[in-house]
Amino acid sequence: MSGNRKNHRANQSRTIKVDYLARVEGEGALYVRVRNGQLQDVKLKIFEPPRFFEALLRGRRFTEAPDITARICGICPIAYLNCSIHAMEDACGVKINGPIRELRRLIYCGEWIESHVLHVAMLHAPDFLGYDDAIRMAKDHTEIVQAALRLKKVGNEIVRVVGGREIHPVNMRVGGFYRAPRKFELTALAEDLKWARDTAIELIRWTAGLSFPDLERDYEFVTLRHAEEYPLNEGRLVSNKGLDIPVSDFYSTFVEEQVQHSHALHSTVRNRGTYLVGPLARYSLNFDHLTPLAQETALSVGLDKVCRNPFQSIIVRSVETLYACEEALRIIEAYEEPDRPYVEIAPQAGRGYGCTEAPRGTLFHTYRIDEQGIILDARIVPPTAQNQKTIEADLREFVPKHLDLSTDELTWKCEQAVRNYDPCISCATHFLKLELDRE
Amino acid sequence: MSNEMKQSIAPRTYSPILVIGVGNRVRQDDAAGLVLAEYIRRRNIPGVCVVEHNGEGTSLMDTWRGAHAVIVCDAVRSGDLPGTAYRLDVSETRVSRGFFRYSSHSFGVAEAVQLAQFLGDLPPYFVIFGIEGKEFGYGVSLSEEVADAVEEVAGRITAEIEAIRSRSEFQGASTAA
Repeated sequence: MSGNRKNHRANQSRTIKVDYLARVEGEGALYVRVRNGQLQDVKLKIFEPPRFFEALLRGRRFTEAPDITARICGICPIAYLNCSIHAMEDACGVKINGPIRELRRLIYCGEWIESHVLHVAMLHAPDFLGYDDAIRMAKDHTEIVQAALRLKKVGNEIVRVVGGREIHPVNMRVGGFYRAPRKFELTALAEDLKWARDTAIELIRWTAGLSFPDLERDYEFVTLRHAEEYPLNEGRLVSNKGLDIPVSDFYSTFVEEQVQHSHALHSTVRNRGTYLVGPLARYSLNFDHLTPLAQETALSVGLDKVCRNPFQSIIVRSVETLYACEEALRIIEAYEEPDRPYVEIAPQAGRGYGCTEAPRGTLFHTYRIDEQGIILDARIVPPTAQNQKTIEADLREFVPKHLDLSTDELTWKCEQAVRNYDPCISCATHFLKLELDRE
Repeated sequence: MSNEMKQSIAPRTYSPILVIGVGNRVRQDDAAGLVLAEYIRRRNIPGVCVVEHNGEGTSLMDTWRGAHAVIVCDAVRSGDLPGTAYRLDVSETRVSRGFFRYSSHSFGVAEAVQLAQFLGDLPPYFVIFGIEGKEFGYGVSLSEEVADAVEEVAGRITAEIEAIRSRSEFQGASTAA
């Protein structure tokens, strides 16, 4: 964090500038300009170089997309694997049910646990407690850091057992898995998951005890919604402002546009404006599909059924961690080994759509393939890109209310506000430094 | 099933000496740590386990837990001349953040070492070898300067491993692994 270290009064001009936002994935910056006590500009800049994955996919076989796109992110490869697999199966007119579908949910639960716990305890909590990082925080909060490390490991173990290894899993493919885990391999995870479920409840209580800046916004929440379950791999795209579409209507509803200050495309709802994807949206529009224990624990710590304070996303991530532990336990208990680990899928010419809930929010893939299964075009819309305009909008509302803070304090709060979104700039790539300009 | 998959499904057993290559193969010189680890793997030194890792800190802490001696290989971006070799003994030198190229949500090798040190969870023998990188853009080849340094650094790592193995406390353990 760099910036003017002098304190300023609200009526002065200043610039908040964070050259490299810490504790976010990838390279980006934030620029905030204040003149004569008035907020003039907020820009979230993503300058992680574009990866051109979409171009790289053209000409490859439809079966290669999962493992190629999984390399877009080291934190959420399962999201990319699941999303591209669903899109390819959709293009080929195949729908997979039974144990394979359940295994896909299970491995996604593993990724949610590891990603959410990393962000909640190691990256976001230090903001609330006034520490520069988790290492300094660990000196005063050793127990929570140790619990978080063990909790995250439970998520890693799910990914390792189902995905073949915890880093860049290699076991998922179009049609299913290369190898289905044996029942006993999954059952072996149950004891740790029961501990994780109990620890997640403690994590919810602990995060709910933090102090939250006062900010409630009238977001358009966008999320997948499924008739019977909390959304992971399937559902319709819905919002609290009337949206209810199949995922194939993504591009007729959402618009992507280039802006000069970011390598990542900005997304809006056509003719309406910014929207929010991620834990707040999922939770607020799918509260009824959380487990009774997750609902009860959320309500018991004072979280409403709808959460509009982006800073409280840290509690919501903890609630989703509890949900993921319980869902994983349910799947493991009911699991029956499939006769075959995958369904052989013959390619057919056409377009397919995949939309899943990555830890950071809705991830969308679409591919067009020919009759040989060669990819003709590919488009990927990651959650962080969709949230960019909303992050800027949060800051436009937040900064004017806190101009009495010193530049150091205001810069800190701005970074914290960006980290509400656990932004994954590497995924957005088409993204963070912070600059508060008030002269 | 690929060989990679077969290896990954094998139960975890820790050798007394663990070599961890950290990096990203599609970010040019960021692969330096992985290339170094691959050199060591090919030498099939008894009692030495070689693993590749993407550098996510908390997972790294799990990876080295239980090992007696750990050698981490990674690419460095400190502003020094490309190809410059480094050896850091973390019991003697503080590992500064930002020294290594890769970090995942800014919780990478340096943070993992510091947190493990604080939690009393760092293996007793812990050394990091690094090579200063030049190019970290997208691509699968090392820059000439880094490629030229790999063999020499791999030789130094091998010599370090032999020195560890010759120490009395590793004698029995290395034949069992």
